[in-house]
Amino acid sequence: MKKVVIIRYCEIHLKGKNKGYFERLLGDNIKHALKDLDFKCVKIPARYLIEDFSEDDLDEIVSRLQKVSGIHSISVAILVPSEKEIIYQTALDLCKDKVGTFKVDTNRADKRFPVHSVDLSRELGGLILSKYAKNLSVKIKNPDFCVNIDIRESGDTLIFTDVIKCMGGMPVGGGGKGLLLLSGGIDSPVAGYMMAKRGMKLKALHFHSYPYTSDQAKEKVIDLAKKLSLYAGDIELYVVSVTKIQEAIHENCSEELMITMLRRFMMRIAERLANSIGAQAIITGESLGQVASQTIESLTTSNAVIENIPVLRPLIAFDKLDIIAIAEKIDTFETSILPYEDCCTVFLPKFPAIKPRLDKVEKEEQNLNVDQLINEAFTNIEKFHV
Amino acid sequence: MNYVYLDNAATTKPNEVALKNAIELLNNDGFYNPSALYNPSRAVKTQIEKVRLQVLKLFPNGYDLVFTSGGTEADNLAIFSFAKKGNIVTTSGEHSAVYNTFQQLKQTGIEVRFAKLNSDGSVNEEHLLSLIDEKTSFVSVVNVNNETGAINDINSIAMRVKSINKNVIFHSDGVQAFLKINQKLSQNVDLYSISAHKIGALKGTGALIYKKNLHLKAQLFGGGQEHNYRSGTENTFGIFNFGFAICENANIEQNFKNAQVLKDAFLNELQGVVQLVSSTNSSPYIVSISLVGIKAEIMQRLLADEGYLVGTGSACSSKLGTSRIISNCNLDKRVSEGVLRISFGFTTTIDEVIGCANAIKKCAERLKVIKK
Repeated sequence: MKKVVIIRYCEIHLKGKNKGYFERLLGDNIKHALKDLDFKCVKIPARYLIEDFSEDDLDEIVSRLQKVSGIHSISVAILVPSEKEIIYQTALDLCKDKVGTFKVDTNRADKRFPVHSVDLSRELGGLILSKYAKNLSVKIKNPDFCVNIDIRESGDTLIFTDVIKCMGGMPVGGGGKGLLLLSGGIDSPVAGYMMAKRGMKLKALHFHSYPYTSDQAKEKVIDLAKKLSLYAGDIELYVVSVTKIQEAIHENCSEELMITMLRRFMMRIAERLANSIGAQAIITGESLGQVASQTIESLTTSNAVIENIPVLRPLIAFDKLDIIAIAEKIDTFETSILPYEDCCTVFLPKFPAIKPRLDKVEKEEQNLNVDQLINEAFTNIEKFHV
Repeated sequence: MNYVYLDNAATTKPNEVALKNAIELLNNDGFYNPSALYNPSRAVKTQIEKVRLQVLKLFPNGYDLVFTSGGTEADNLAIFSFAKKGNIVTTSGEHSAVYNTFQQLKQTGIEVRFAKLNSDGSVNEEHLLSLIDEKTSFVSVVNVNNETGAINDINSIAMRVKSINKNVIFHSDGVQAFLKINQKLSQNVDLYSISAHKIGALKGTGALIYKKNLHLKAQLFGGGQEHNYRSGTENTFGIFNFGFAICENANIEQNFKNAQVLKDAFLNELQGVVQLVSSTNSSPYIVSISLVGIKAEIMQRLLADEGYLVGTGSACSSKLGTSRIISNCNLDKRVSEGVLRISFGFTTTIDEVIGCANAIKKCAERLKVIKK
């Protein structure tokens, strides 16, 4: 008798000939998430099993697996030989501390097992009820818990009561590579999470403007990338200074267009970096109308500098409160609201342009040496592995 | 990087001799519990009492003291002992240890009144006095403002307060004044808080000086140490160290003059570059200046890159906002956002302050581009 973790996946089942590829990818990601622990990952039909781990690590394993994209749910089960007495005794032990309503659900894949599944469920249910009549009662529809008996063809049986819902989605790596524009705010880590959930491998780009923003602001972004990496796997974080660009815009251009123009620079830098590191898309945390730089006119103006890479905006139709709810779920919210801003108030216009016009912005840009500023920004690029 | 440390109002570098002496004492049977009954522990007790007398010597007769974990605890002990009824009055320029404790009491239903500040951070005395009435039970006025260095003449203020209501208990937070400003406390000041780490000792030790006829209300209960006012085994090492640090920096008048020379030289170097926030009536150890139109936080970062660590009166982040004290000085926003605090220690040299002034000039030139 030993404890194992059953891993179920979701959308992979819908795949046709590619199914094996996605299953292998998920298996690799599971192994990577648990890489510093002792365990064995075994493929069984439509499932993975984690075995041979130290019981001390069980909570950690469960916690990490909940963050692996592509896993639908997991259960901690007890693996026993398929012998009726042992199965019954193990199931009874599992119910020892339980309170409420239950049912027994049996799946008999091994047709050599002498008792039919309906009979086994009934018989075991009766045994449990008579032993724990004080705390338990039977309920077939929506019980508080279900005693699952999975009699496998391999000659052993998995017994478990709880199903832990996981992240869902697709295995990271199966959906290409994206470059996430990661600020210190609430939205961009959520945008990254959403794309990772759809299987996209993330690289990240942060813009800082020391001395106008602090090193703490940069450290905060590294922390956010670390939190995101629990879901998205290892992330390469690039940090580019836009100090000179901000100063140049501040000095030479109309104040109200500061943010619009800065965002155009950011997009240009992002596309150039994406091309050089093999990212196939840019990911932003923009949400329509959230701030002046995210009106459709502002998005159009900043998007206009993009030459030929898709810009994915998974939060475009999300309300702020919905974004916050996800940020709280993935534990980035508390870090995001630390008071180290990623744009110094020095550069925030009193009245930012809400509906910037492309022709006007392009004309203002003629006051700057755009190429030179971007080249300079690339000379001091920093790279972190998180 | 070897930094020149000019943020001594925040904390000071431990005095090497004081630290060495305290370690020696500790190693020489100084670790016993001073409350133990065997003979060797009595030497520890005696040493604590020696430091107690040493501190009390700096105050007039009639005072005693409780050793605490620092200035914050001393302030809390004073306030929670006496600020219980009627209304209580303090200034808008208090250190958070006083200000937030008053805010806490406000939530319990006590009427709390805050006196306005002058533009240099000193309390507007007339406004303070107008807040005192027959129901006022407790008044707290900081001796030296920790951000601007403004000196409040607490002896005179206490006297004027008591001439309106003689029953008021008067407290002053003396953390930035102790061993820095040469003044004899008048008997009108009932309670006075001090801290060790602002004068070259370690963090974790402070004291509340109190008039002997007052009964404090203990906030910590247990073994009954410190006349039952502050239970808990004494921080013997911290207290030894405090005593030695006082010995090392005992020449208040000479140190004051030295600080004044530093301040004058520093400001002389920066004439026309910065606006002075401190007035003439301020501690020479704390210089508050504004680089009008340049946010202090940005300047602070650049100065650190140049090797100079200084304090700010404000934070660039709109979430943090300008410091409460600086905002309460009613300065123009462009001034208040640019407030830097340069604070000297007993070992600060003239070369260091001139170097810092030059670095400020250099950084101001660099930031010219963003000045509005």
